[in-house]
Amino acid sequence: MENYIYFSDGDGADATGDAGCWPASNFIGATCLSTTTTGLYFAGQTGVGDAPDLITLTHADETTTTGHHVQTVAKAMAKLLNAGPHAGGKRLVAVDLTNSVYAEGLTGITGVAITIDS
Amino acid sequence: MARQVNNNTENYLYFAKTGVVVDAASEAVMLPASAYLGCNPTSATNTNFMFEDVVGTATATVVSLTHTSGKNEEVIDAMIEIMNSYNGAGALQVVADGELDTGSITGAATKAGTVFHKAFKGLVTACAAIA
Repeated sequence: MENYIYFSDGDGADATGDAGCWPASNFIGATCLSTTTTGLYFAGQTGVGDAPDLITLTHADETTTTGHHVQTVAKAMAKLLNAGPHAGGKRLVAVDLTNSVYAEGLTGITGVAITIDS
Repeated sequence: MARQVNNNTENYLYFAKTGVVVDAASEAVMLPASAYLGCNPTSATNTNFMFEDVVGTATATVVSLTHTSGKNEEVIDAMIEIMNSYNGAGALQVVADGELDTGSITGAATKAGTVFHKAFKGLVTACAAIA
């Protein structure tokens, strides 16, 4: 079985880039992008040789307090990607801003931007 | 590219550069342990660890760890121990978090100091670069 990780922005899942669902096994990595954004990369979904898909998460600027939010996101994503055994084989919501659903540790996310073939 | 086949658990490795306010790409990264490609010592006090690129390009992400002189093999052994560590499930392993108080981190809930995985037994002193 495989976990599938779902993201959605806040204006409904009804257009390209509004939402996406990736196999956990396609997760490439994460890195901070700015003081208030963290990028998650998955292997591209449009075919062989395509660029990775980028999910940009917006969050508070914590660089002058507890350190960049990327580590909080990393911990939450590691837990979600490894969720199981009872969660195995399901669609797991990481962040769904349309329906205000958040995985544990991702409640601080205020924005989701999905770039296919980044 | 596919990893975590059949939903086997996976360790994820976290690195943050030493001495900088983490606020730009590749200053802090999270990588699957299965993205590890190899390593090589670049000096008596530095070993480079290569991973499949964190942003998906063909060029490897290189993490440079500074350590006690002549302890390259011990640091490599520790990295293998970290990547293979298992406590019932895969987890985020904070390998080298060099983000520290550079003077800009202030307030009640401060983050100060560095964190290096206990497997290094104090040998690693900095995450010198992530490129």
